[in-house]
Amino acid sequence: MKKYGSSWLGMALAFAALVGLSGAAWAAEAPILKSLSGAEKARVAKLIAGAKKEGSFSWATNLAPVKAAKALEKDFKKYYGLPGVKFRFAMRKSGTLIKRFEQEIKANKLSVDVVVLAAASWLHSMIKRGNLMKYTSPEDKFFVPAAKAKMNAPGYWVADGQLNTMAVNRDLAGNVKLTSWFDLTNPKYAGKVLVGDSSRSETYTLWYMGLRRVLPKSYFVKLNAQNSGIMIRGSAQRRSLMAGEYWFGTTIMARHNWIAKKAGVNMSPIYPKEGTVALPIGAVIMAKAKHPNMAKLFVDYWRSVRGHHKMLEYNPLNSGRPLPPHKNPDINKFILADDGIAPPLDRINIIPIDWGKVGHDDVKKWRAEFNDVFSSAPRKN
Amino acid sequence: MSTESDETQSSLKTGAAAAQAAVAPAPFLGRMFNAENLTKVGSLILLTVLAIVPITVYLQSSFRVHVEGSQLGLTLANYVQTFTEPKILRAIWNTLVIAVGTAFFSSIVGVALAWFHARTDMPWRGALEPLTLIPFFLSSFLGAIAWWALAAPRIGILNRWMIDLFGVSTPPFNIYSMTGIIMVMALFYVPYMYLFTIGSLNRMDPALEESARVCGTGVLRTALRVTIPLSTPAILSGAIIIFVVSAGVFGVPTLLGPIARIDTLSTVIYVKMEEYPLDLGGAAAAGSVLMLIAVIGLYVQRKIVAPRSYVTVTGKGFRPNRVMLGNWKYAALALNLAYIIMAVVLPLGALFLASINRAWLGGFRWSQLSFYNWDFILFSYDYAMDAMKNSLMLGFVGGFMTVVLCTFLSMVILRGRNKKLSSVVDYVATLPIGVPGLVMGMAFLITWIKTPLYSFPLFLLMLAYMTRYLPYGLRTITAILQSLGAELEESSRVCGESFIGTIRKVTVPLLRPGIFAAYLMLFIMFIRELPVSALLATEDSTPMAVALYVISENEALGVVSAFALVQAFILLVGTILFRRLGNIEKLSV
Repeated sequence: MKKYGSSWLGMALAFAALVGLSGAAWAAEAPILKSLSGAEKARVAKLIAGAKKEGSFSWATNLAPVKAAKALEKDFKKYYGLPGVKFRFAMRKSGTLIKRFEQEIKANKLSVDVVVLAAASWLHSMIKRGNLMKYTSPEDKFFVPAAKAKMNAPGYWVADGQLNTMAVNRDLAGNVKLTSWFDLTNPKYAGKVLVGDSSRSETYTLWYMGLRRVLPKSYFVKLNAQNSGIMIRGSAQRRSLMAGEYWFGTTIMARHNWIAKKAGVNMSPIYPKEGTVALPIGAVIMAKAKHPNMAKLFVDYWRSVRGHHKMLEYNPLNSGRPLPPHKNPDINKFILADDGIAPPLDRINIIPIDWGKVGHDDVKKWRAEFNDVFSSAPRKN
Repeated sequence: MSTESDETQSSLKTGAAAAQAAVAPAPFLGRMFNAENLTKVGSLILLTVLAIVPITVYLQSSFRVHVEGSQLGLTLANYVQTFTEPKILRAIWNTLVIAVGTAFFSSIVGVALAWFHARTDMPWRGALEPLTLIPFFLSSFLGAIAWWALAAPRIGILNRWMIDLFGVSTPPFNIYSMTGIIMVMALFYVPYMYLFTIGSLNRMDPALEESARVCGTGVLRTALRVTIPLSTPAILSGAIIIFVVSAGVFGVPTLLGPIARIDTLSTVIYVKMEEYPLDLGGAAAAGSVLMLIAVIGLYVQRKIVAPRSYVTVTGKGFRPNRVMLGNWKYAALALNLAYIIMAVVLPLGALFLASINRAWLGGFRWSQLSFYNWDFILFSYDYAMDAMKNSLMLGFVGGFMTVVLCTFLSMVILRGRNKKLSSVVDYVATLPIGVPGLVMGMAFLITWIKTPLYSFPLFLLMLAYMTRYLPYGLRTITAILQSLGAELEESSRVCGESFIGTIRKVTVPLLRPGIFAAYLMLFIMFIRELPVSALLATEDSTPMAVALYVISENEALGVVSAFALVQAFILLVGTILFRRLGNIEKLSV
């Protein structure tokens, strides 16, 4: 009897200690509050108190891989003193997420608080229909490069950039100097250039539309005549460039250069002097978000230097704000450098596009032109 | 023995006829509200909830133009566009060419292999059957990736070998072509045809073939004139399903089509479904062409199959004899081995080589040898492990529920006197096959988001899978049931056994091979399903196919290959388990 009695006592004490410790973790001042003062400290403290009551949070993106999302979650919880909040996360294609959320909004069953997407036309449509919450984060004022490129929607989002730009497999092409889009029309590169298929992808249509502001149609006619390949998925383009099927990509996202680099293939981006198209990536709060306090805190974190630096450890992102050096020198060298995988937008010549004015008719128009230019298949492979 | 059996059967039949004659004509209401009609109407109600509601949502979308967040009034504009826009018309033509080519080649190879395994003395049959089915464990999209690594003009392993070994000046294989697309798809659909036909071939009374042989007919002629025609329901079912499904396949033309500028209906639908504002109307109208193809296919099948009898399993006992091929058995073996090399060894070999290279540089490199990809998938990536658990649950439980439903519906369709109502049930249950996955997922989402079921994503996924793959299970089981003579069940009833007792003691045991083949097929399909899952699955209910998509976006080819091989291994183990569970020597015997 005595033996069992002491076991029960021990278990009760351990349980009490556990409850006490977790309570202490919730009650202790969040690290972020130590760096704040005055009204801003009170604002964040109020949001944290609200977030504790909400207890959970849901976000979705087409950008961050699961590992990055988990790392962001862990760091966020630690920094904001919210260890007990339950996170839900989904990574899908932007089209899939949009379809789902549109139906959820119609049925009044929204399951997500924050969406991080490179889908400007949908995000602007969401503003028009009153489906996004107005929120200005203290971090927003730093996104000047994105504002210059007309990528922000003040009050709703400030943008980072999804760059679909030129990339080269240097293991095959060597140290060739490429500074202009026109360099790819050099006859010696015939059959070695890969183009994103704008006839089947809105992202690449917008890329085509953007580049046509600085390049003539004849440029693309020449690219097609030079036996350029076209492919739809970014992952297929990455595989093709890594395997050496093509040497030069024209619509390669930073993530794909990063994946190639991790696997030991020297694939690097080029930012041509004529300019690069950057699709705005907006982290937005849904108007009917069930966890608005958590959503605001997470958006603050996403837009902060800390959030950007954490993301860069797992996934490259062209920051819409200038960034100080990262504590990891490799990230500074391979990602943030001027010729790195994802330098902030202030170091790149971005083609300004007023994304609020780009509609479906533009997509149709430019897709029709792309189809016209690239309708004939290459003669040889 | 056989005389006694014939006499017993004859007296049973006479008894049954006498019992029927003794029944007085029932009044009209009595005839309408009998147990059979009520069962069929009940089935129709169930199918309406599962399939008709989403399909109606889908079809009504095709008559609407969708703008930002809403839809306009009724219109035929989507259909006008579908049947007048040159790009879409070209896509329809390409789709038909690919679907016909895939169905034709996979049917020829699939039926031949099924015949070798079921009816002949080809050596190594037991060992070769699981290998023959392995392509079924991979999605055709992964097959396309593997064949890209093998036969892409510049970097394909086979092309490089051919150039190095024979000094040919241009690469002999070009996977970026109509031929390449059809070849990849046909290779991966052969197991479908195999599974559709092997059950029926296994159940066939060899006396029919022996009679032909006694009359001096050769082996090949007997197969072509007796065996294959008696399996017409199964072969037609398989061919039509492969035709319809390959018309809706998206992954292969997406990967291999653009370089050669080959558009298909599925890529047209993809474009309409992926941009904003979503052109659901245009996608549904383009998808309706696929549904029309399915309906026509089913109609043709019924017209050819219905007027004739394909009963090959009767009350007579028989010993399962095999056709002796003589030296031709080695030719059969060679064909089977050639198929396994093309559809298993080469693509899985390419994926395996990619999985043990840190980066795929267009061929295996010793300098790239690494087990990072396997370590990552098996030990570092919780997401993949959770997805495997979800998929196994969906495959086992969902597959079981679907196969029970399919068995029930098969009996409703093929047994009983009200043939018109049976036809309606058959058509309705088969319609989902004509709806492309991308559009079907959307139709499910629109339909079920308004119900409390939306809070149970795993259950929702199961319902969606059941609806989408109902026709596959149904075709497999009805093909077997069609070959079972109703006299066995009638005899049981005349002898006093109840309806349920007859199903339990006579029908189900005879159907067991078909039921297990259907269960296995559904299990595999559930685990591979992507378009519906991508839309309906949440983080907690993510299945393997979605995880594979996420991995393919974020990791190099080696990781994708390792995960694909793990998936194939799980499905292989699943197949072995099914054989044990079914206590059957071979998959469909």
